[in-house]
Amino acid sequence: MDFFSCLVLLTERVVSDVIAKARRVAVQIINVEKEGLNATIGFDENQILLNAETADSVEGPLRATAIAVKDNIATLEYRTTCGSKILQSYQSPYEATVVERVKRAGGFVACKTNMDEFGMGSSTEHSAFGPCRNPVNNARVPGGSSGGSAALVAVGAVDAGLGSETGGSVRQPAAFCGVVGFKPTYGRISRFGLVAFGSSLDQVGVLARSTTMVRSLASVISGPDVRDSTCKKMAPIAKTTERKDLTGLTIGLPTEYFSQDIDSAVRRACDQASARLKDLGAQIRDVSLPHTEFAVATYYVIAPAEASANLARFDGVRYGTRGDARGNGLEDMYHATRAHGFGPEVRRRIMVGTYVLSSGYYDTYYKKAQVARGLIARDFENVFSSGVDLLFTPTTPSVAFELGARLQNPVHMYREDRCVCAANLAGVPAVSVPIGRNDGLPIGGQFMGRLDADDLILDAASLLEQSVDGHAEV
Amino acid sequence: MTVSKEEIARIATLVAVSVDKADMEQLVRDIDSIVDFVGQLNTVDTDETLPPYRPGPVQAALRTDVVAPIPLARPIEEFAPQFRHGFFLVPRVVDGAGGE
Repeated sequence: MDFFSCLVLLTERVVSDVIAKARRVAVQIINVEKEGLNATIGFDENQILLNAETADSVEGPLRATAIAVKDNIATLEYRTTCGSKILQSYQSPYEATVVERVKRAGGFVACKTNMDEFGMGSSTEHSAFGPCRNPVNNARVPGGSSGGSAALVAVGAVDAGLGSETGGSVRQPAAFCGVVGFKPTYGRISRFGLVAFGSSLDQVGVLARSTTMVRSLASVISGPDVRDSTCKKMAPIAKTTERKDLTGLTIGLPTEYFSQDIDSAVRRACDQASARLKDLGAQIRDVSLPHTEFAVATYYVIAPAEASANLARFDGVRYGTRGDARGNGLEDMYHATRAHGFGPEVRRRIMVGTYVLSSGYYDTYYKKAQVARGLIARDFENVFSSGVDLLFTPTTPSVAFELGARLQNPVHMYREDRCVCAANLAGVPAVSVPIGRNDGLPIGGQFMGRLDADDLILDAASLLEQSVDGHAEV
Repeated sequence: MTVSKEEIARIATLVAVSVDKADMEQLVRDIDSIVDFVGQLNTVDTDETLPPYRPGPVQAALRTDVVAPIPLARPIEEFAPQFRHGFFLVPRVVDGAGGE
């Protein structure tokens, strides 16, 4: 073979950075799924290469970046099942704004990820496609509902994941899997193409192994969107920061988040992280958010109430695989479709949501929850207007629990959200970063900020990330 | 028990989800425990007169009132299991009649 032929052959074998990346990602996903992680719902080796070929022609800040997308975010390449049997064959005719923006920036969709059905759960066990496992310890849950995205990011199969939050569903799995999870201020990231669960709470969030990658992705997908009327007309989240330390900032530690029922290792990790924050120049102060104790109960009235309305569209006519009504008419078809298509947790929440909105109970539950939500939001306003710039808390009361451990009693599962759901009720931004481990299991620390202080909480998270070893035992 | 079996049956009808008799007892227990749990909201001081809290923009953004193409990736007839003469076919609404 002459020199020229060798050169041609060699050139043909050389592929672009994007294609090479897609191949590596595909192999990694195949391997972790073979090991039983069950982090994906939609994945196809050929599809990821097709996606990469399209992305190869785009130069942008996310070039050669593989993104795992939670399966309640609409994509054209893969079905959008929401982890539910009722949408198992649903193919969206359009794609979400966040996915469009990822592609425009040169990124590509690697796969769709496992989740609690319609986002209703804190362990990714309530999925019609089977439970996802924690990659750190396969006997434990990855958290939820964005557990699939968190697990794939944690094993390094993808660069970042898109998730969604209604009550902590990005931050809690991020903490359980040892990655960074960011929930923006309500309205900073478009929800066009995110399947609605609780519309006054839902937000798209980002998971990655570093705050640098979180910022890269968040800066691309945030900003105004005319297709989402709740989206703020604000500049995108900043990609980088000039901040070198936390001098001049006051960080509040809300006493209600460090109560007796917080695991001692989690408390220890938070104490160590607080010391590092002080070393970084921050002033640390104890503060109080007195209505925190009502956050979980408030959330579990408002979210199911909104879900009961949002999920009415899954009836076998507008959306959803049609159930067999044996020719008995429309009403029976609705009942058969929904009974067959929804899992037990979704059925429970739709029924609770309808119960708290029904005549005779509206004032007792829904109206009370609305008042409590206002008080919770006012607690945040009060503390931020008292000279506090940021709040630091544990993300979860304990490390990842064992599979099946919270399934018997729904309220036990709900209480897992007690450190995260207040931020959703108030709409404030929050981010979880790894701050240590206990017996190898990751622990997350959480920053919360005032409305629109997304850049500030990411600055603090980034500096803390650099000054603590998230893999060290506490 | 705060919640009765009859109430759950009524709610099941309202939300159009049929419940098997075998599952009813467990469902009542589960929902009762949830309703009991959220009942702690009755201790919230409701003398406070706060307007309902809604995060996000005070006023929802409006689009320009201009007809724009619908960004659909596939033809409309592919969205439903049955589509004929420009219409989606759904089960007949009149009970017992069957058909489309």
